[in-house]
Amino acid sequence: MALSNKIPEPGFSSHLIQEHKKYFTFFNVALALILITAVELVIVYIPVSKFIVLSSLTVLSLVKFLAVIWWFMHLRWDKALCTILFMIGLLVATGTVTALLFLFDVDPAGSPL
Amino acid sequence: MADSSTHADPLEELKNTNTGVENKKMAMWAFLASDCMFFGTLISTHLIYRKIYPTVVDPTAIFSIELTGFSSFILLMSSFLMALSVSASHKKNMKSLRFFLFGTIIFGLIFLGGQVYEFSHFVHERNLTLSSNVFGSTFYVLTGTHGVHVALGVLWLASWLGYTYSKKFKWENALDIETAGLYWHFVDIVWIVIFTAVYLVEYL
Amino acid sequence: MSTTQATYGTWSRPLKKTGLVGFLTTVDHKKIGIGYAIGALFFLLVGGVEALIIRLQLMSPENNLVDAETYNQLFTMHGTTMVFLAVMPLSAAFFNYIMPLQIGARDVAFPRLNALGLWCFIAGGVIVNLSWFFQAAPAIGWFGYAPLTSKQFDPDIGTDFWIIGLQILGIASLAGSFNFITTILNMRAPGLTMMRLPVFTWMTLITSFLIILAFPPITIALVELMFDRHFGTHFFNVAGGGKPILWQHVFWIFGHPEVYILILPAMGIISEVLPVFSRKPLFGYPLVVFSGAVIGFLGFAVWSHHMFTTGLGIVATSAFAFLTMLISIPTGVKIFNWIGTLWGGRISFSVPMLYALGFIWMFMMGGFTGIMHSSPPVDAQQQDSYFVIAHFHYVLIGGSIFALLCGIYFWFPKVTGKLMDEAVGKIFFYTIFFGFNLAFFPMHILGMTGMPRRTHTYKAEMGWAEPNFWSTIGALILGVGIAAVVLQVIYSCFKGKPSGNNPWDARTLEWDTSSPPKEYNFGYTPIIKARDQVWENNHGTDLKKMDKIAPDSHGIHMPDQSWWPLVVSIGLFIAGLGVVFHHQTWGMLIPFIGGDSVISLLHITMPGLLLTFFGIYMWALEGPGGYHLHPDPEELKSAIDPKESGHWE
Repeated sequence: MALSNKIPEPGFSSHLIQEHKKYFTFFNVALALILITAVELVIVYIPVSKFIVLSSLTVLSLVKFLAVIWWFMHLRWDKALCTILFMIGLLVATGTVTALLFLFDVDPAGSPL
Repeated sequence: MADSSTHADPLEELKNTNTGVENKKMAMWAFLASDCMFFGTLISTHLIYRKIYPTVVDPTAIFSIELTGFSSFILLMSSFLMALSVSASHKKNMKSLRFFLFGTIIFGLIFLGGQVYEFSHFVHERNLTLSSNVFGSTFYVLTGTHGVHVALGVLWLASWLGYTYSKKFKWENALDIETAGLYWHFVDIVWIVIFTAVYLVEYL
Repeated sequence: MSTTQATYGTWSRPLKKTGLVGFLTTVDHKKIGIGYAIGALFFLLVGGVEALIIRLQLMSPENNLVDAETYNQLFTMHGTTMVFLAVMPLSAAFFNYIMPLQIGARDVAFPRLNALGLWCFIAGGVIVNLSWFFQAAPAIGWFGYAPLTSKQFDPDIGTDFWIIGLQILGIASLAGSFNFITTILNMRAPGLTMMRLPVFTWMTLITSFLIILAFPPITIALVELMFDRHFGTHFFNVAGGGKPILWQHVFWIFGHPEVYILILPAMGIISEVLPVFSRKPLFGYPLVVFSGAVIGFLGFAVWSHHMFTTGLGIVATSAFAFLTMLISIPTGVKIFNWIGTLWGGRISFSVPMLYALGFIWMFMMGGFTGIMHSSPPVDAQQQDSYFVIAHFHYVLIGGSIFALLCGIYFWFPKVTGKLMDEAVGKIFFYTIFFGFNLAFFPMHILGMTGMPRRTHTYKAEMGWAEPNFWSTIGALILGVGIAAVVLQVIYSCFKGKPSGNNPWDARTLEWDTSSPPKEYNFGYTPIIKARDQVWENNHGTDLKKMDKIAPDSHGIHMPDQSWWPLVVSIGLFIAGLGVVFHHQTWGMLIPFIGGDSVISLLHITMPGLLLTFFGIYMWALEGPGGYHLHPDPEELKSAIDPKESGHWE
């Protein structure tokens, strides 16, 4: 982003330039999050196949998820170890959720209540 | 590991670990990895019962997607404000730090308010309680647990906001703000998953 | 030279190192480790008594030493106690005491959090066992299957004690694990790369990852169960549409990694002891480490092998069977590497070595029956029979307990500075070995001839009387052996001969400290140049000898003691108790004077939670604090001045 005519903070240093740049990144990410959420709210009403909508929702949510962890949670700028630590938990959790969902089937009798 | 006699930037000092990641940050990331399993189990329970009993309720008749959509925006914006707070703390900008922290807290409270309103609306007008059916059980426990996480986060951030007014506040505490921020963002990404998997998919 | 500050004028940090205050406010990983060990050994004996009563009941057909309900309580409490209050805390004792020494650290990353783990362990153990005193011990099995645990079938508060006790124990385990992960990754001595770590430390790391990923599912399962029991939800309530099988899934998603949590530390101990008493390095170190990681990771993918007989369907059953069989591969790799370590070594049959060798053999036997279970058709016969009991006792006693006893004998000199008598130790080992095999080998036969688990008696004509009789004799001998070991430990603490720093000529860094180690562990910062650094120091070339950097003029930074971990634990204890007793009468909680009014969440749980939050706030406001110590100059004899140290990484 080009808005570089911002007045420097007292104690100006290269470390602070990085922080300033982050503001614009954060702003863009926030904007993207709002837009994606708006799109999500709209596409559920579009009369196309369930599969397409579901896939789109999954992709969009994934993008939001990754955007927050990559930029807001700083993984982009931190050591890779943080990403690895988190991914271990995320992958084991995702695997478990997926396996569990495959292990259950529709109950033909329906719910008693 | 050796006792260092150079006390340059105390915040950078905290990175003097084998991995270069501060202890608190690493512990928080490990905790968040653990929390993925925590919410994963709750989300599984909800989705399993939705799979088993697709017709036990019609969630679209219960949900108010406008309200939930609004709450989602609020939480996402609170995440943005949190990122700005952390940034401000690194820039040693006290005014911005307090302003953005306050904003995060307010947005968090608005989200919580929305949840409280939603729950009470569902209970009173839609007759959905913890015990009315399985959907009620899984929905309230899942979103309720998330809400408790948000509430604890608000408490945590409010405590830090208060602490910035204390004489004991030091700029090394930027690490603590960042750690709280990681927790806050995590609560946001869990909501991103819940919003899609619990609310939006029902409208297909 | 203490520079401890008073906090907010009102509360000052506790300074006393000795006495009750010193113990209750300790943050020293060594004292905390000893605390865990004492608690664990106590609960080991409690669980053992529960087992002996079970065995006495089963000694003869149609016995009536205890009735069926009491019997159910006994096997529930025996299992719960042994898993959560004996084996896990004993492993935690070693993680706490030994791991920081092995990596050259002064303490763990978060000393107060470490203390919280200890106090929560005590709190959880007390809550679970408090149930006995209310004639309401849980009778649901250590795995608490729904719908037996529902309010409908289990109206007493036993299950509630179990739920809350386990939740608090979960907090203890999680607290410890976050600490250990951070410590191992971040606080290693310079030069101590991950591939130079002692295997025990590696296993600590892997087990900690297993804990942080496996405990959340059971936390949720227990919350869901509690909601079903108290707030009318339908997670597992059939009448409301709940599926009890969901409990089984979520429990075993925790439960299977849990058994690897029980065995990996044990394998770590064995991997330390075998090289020492073969006077050879561990064979295939990278493979042993990698196998441990693979076992840990695969452990999350096999949980439904506990559910082969529940009708999962062909695809699911086959998938889980296949993955379960896969786990035998890294396990086998470890065993071959241990044998490779022994091969060509100069073996000395010390007491720790006997336990280690016993481990290899007994664990293998348990492993063989485990592989049998992994075949669904075979498991169809074995499920819920004594064959399973034989299997897991071979891996848990022959495996975990043997290894933990091995660890006790091995590290006792380091922890206390005294020796345990070898001859006496060997007698007790053989007693335990014999008693254990006599107790559990017949169970394979009993299982194959159809004796079911969890039934308080059997008819004489079944033909099970004789194996059961001998099994009980074996159990009694085993009990005597275990009690004898505990007594020997206590005796040797007072009367053992002085051991010196490294009586075994062992290989890893903890043996370079004094016995017992000084409060600050290492007077200098060690610069590591090799795996098995102490062996290199004593027997290796000059090139790989460890360097020592003296501390700078500030001295060694030590963490301050604190009341707040104890306070937070007490708050959780009270809050938990409040949940157990809510909707019960005060008269039930306090007999004779309680009265008939009903306890609500506001009466006990709320104050408990307030105390917890208060403790957390004071903890946070207090800050880590710290003071400085100057080490004994004796320790710094060959140490390099820090100003001349330069870069060493």
